[in-house]
Amino acid sequence: MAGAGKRQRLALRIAAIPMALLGVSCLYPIFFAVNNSLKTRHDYLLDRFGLVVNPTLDNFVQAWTRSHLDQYFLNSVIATIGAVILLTVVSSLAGFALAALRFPYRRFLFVVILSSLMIPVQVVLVPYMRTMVALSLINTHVGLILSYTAFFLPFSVYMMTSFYSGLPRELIEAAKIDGAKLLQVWWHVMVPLGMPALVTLGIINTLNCWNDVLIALLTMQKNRTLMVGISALKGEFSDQIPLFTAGIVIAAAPIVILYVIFQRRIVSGIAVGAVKG
Amino acid sequence: MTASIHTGPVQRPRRRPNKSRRAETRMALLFVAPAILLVLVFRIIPLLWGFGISLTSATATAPGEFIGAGNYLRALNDPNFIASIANAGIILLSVPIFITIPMILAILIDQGVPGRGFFRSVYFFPVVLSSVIIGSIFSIVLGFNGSLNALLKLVGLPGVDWLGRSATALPVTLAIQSWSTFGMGVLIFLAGLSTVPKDMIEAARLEGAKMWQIWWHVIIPSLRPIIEFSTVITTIGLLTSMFGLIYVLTGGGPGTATTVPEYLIWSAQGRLNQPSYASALSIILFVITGALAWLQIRMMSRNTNL
Amino acid sequence: MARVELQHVSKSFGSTEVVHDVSLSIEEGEFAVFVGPSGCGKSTLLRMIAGLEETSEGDVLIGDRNVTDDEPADRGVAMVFQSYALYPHMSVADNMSFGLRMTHRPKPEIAEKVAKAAKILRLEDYLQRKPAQLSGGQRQRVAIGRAIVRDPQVFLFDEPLSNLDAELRVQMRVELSKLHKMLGNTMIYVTHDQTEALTMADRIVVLRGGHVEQVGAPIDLYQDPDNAFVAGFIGSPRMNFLTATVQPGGKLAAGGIEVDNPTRVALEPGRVLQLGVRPEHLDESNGYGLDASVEFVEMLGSTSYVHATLPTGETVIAERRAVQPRSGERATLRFAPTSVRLFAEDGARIR
Repeated sequence: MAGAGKRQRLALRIAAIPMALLGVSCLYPIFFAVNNSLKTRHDYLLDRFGLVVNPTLDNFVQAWTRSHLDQYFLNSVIATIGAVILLTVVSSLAGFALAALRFPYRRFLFVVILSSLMIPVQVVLVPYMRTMVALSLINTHVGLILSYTAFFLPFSVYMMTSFYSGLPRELIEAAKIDGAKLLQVWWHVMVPLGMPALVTLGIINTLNCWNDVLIALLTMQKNRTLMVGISALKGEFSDQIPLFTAGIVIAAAPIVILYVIFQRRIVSGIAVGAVKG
Repeated sequence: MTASIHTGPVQRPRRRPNKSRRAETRMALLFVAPAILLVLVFRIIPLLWGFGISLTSATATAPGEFIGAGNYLRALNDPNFIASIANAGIILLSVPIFITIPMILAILIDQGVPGRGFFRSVYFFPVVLSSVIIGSIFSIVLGFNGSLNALLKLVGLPGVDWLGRSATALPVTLAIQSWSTFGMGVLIFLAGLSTVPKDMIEAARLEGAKMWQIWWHVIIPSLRPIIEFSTVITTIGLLTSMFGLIYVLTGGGPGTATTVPEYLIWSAQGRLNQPSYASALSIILFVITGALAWLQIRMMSRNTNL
Repeated sequence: MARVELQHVSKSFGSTEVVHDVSLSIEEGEFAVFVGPSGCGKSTLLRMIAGLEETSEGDVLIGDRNVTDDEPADRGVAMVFQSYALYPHMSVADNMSFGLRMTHRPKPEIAEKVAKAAKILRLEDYLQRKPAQLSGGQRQRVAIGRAIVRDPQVFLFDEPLSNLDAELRVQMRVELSKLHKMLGNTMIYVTHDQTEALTMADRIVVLRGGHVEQVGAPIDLYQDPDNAFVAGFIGSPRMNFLTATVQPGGKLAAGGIEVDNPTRVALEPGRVLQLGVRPEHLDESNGYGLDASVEFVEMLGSTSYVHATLPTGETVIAERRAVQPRSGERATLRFAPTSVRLFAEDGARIR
């Protein structure tokens, strides 16, 4: 920072110390989980804090095979991928129409979608469940996918509408004159041009779906998703910490990997949404 | 209608939208339909339906009868509900902290504290972790026989039942929630700070203002819209996004120490199987958060010029 | 290649009427230019022909087919936008073939048409590049190529040269004229620049405030304007307008001198009219002479523009080729009687 006074630089350096401690505290819990997941039960009881001495992958194997984590993992994967695809398509189509096409009630419909932000799942918990039962969607993958889509749509539609309204209107006019039908304009022009926003949105929605517990708890009680499964495991394995932490690590791993790879995108995507909001 | 005289073919009357425009309207409505449908079926209609249920004495099996405000009156006399509202009140009192800490951190990072790149990525890390993950890990660490107490014993301090004592359960839960979400606040404030003109700060420094004076008089006022936005989002988040953490960490307990309205709703339905009561609680929650969420929506739609 | 006809076309946005009852026909193969100041409705008119805007009233016919109700894609038109509107994520070849691909033309046909257009526009070496890698002029040509490839009945141009620098603009003007000669399609061209209109058009349509002021060949608009607006708009520098009072006896007093009535119509004494003479016609050696005091001279190399004041206080501009007077000098600006144009109080031309 050009011109920063010496005193200010010193103050900043001093501030960096508690900030660094905070930073380490942000990383410690995952480190704690990974560290302990590699210990045998015996080793853990002997030494709770130290670094693992004889790492073993037994806990992972056991959690995966004997605690049904493999099923739970698969359920989460199916729900997440399905919902993210559906969210991408639906929000891209809606964003295109709301931003670039002319039709009556355009602003009204946009507000309707946005205003459903006022209705988180807790506010409609009972009727939501009854709707799912009535539509025979309870305990089905399709039901969970549709639910995730419905509950994460507003932000996605908001982002895509914002993004598409920044594109020059002549681009779409040119495509219309060139002979493209509107669906072709969407597929050949709006989707490719929307890629940066769609990818960021996809990552954010992946986080949302994978991490969700309440909606999954209400919708899929027999075929649990991973987060629901982990919360159930807690009671079961309260005295087998390494096993428990292995489950935690399995559940957290995909997200952590996603974060490490796409960190820039995630951060800038949310920042864009934030500044605009 | 212009008053002009035509000598030529008869002038047609003003027509309704032509074929081409009607075709575009049809397609556009088709494109928006899936989004509208999903939102309608899973959120808007259930809201109205839920209000209807809350006015009855419905159970899991029977539709019950109309009892008007019966469930709502029950809530007012329900110690669990009163406790949950009290807890919500305590939580909301902590909102200023939830705003101030990220803001200060963001300002420090923006002003060039060493290690800013590291801080930016690391602070955000807990945000991407699921509340179940966080709750599970902290339940291990904070359990009575958990790591934190073991650490304290090592230095000679007595262990505390962090999650099992009413006095500490809520503050601890709140602290963990704060820890897991402050990174988002830092991010939002950083984004806002990037729009504060640097020359304004330079000018203030040239005029002799000290660092904290610049903060108080220049930077923070510029951040006002972000502070407002952040307050709304944080409050909504505290009222509607703590379920996972509480579910795993304390289950609402001990007693009602960590029961909050959103948890109570689930409890009334999932555990006690009282759908009509749960619906009434849902509507109460809606009223509380609705006003806030409406503010958020207004801010968002104002910024997307349609 | 087709005829375009506008029948009593009007357009309103809300309660504001921007195009008033315009009827025009553009012949097959003609290069028609819509010109006028900002807000005159020329772009709106073009967009109504394209189908991007609906008409509030009136019909659009292309090739004797009433297309008023049709979508842009079904009208057989192609448009070149001011900002080119190229698809940034597609190569030049894909940009040009987009329309053909969307209408599912066979691949060999697409390849052939793209190659032909690329040859005409000298884009063969750039076919795989993306728009971001091209210069303004090249992007322009790709936009034109996209239109050529579809072999439309009518080419529409919406101020295509406005985004280019002056030098490139002159170059492209020539290229577009050559293109028209080569292809022969009907072309409708919108611009605010009267120079482009004069140099490129077969016929010019001058618009103001949503009305058609005059339609005609460039030379006709130049020599025989229908009203003062057209006379002032066409031709650069602008025609000089002097207040002319009709004297008893029929002569006109203007600019400090007396001028014969140039029209076939008798004029009532006392009427205050406008007399127009172009700067380029104030360079005669014989004829009427205006006694002018030179304010300053703009020198452009072979030509100079002399800004002078008349005894009446009015300023005039005179073009000079050979000898220029200097600032502060007095000069006699001579013009022939045939150069005089007379306009009524409302601007209409009196012939």
